[in-house]
Amino acid sequence: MNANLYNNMSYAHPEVLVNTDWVSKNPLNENRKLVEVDYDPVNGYQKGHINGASLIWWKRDINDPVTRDIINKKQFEALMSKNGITEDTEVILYGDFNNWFAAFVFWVFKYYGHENLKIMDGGRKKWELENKQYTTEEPKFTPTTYKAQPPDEGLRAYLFDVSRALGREDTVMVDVRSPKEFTGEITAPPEYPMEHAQRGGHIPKANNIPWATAVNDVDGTFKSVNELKQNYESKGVTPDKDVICYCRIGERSSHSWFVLKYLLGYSKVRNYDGSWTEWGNMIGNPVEK
Amino acid sequence: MEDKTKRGLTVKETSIDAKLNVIADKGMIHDMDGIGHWVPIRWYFLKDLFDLNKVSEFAEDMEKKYVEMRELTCPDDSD
Repeated sequence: MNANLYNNMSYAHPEVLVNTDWVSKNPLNENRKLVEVDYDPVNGYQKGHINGASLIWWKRDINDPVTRDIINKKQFEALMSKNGITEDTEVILYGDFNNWFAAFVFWVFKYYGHENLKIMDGGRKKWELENKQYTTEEPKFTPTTYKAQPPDEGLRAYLFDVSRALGREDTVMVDVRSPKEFTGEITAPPEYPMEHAQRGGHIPKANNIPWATAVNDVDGTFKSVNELKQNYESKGVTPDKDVICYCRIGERSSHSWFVLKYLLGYSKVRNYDGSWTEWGNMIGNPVEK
Repeated sequence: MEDKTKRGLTVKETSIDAKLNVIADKGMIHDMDGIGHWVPIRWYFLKDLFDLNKVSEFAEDMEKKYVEMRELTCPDDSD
């Protein structure tokens, strides 16, 4: 079984997915790196990871340590160097929490122009369900010189983009949070007490299409293209629209961004990484419940 | 005995709470860095091993801890 398995699924860009069997059968080398992306590396990577995988810790490695923002171009180049990645390296990402943070890092890699990039479908969840092996040994890399591209702002929505899009017929907002977060019953699940906002609810006229509706519950793999089309198009999220995805901190929305852009082939999809922890905290922002 | 500040937290496992040495339902709370920490949600005291006074002592300790936390984050300055 190989990555071409996904051609049968008729995804718009099957080349961005590999499955767990492909990863276990295709050895890593100088030009192919495996990277685990974790929200919680203590309970993930450090307890065990796929042989040869390095770690990108979402909080430490992808976020600026002081300002709330993703890392800048120089910081991204340093991260690539540390992980032994060059501009031509084929990078396969997988991670905890149903690949939410792997999808976020995929988005950041694309933001800085990395071309050869894939996600292992199902992430840690599927790998563990299949009782595939882990190691605790961490790989060592010779630092590389990496030259990133200027940020592709077409992939990212900022607060002002969202404000400007309010009421526009050609733009559709996709809120990928749970129904309880969407209605404002909760601002964050009890497991994440640090991620609350001052107000509950959603951006006016947003569609609630939870991220989980794009995956098979049993193993976290992506649903078929027909199921995905039905999921989004029936709610007015069609390829002709400008689509802005958001959630609470931008990670689940990058998962849906990935689905819309790479599995369904929508051309105009942006991730609003400020998400609800920005919108729901700003004075004067309109909120719908 | 239940910790009401953990209301709504999903029970992920039931095992011995090392601090009180009784069976407890536990969930996971993620801190600012995303790291998950196991926390007890409710404890099951066997009647044969614990009387109500002993359980009340534990409950009062828990209440004391909350008062201290409230003082730290929202001090009552009405005096």
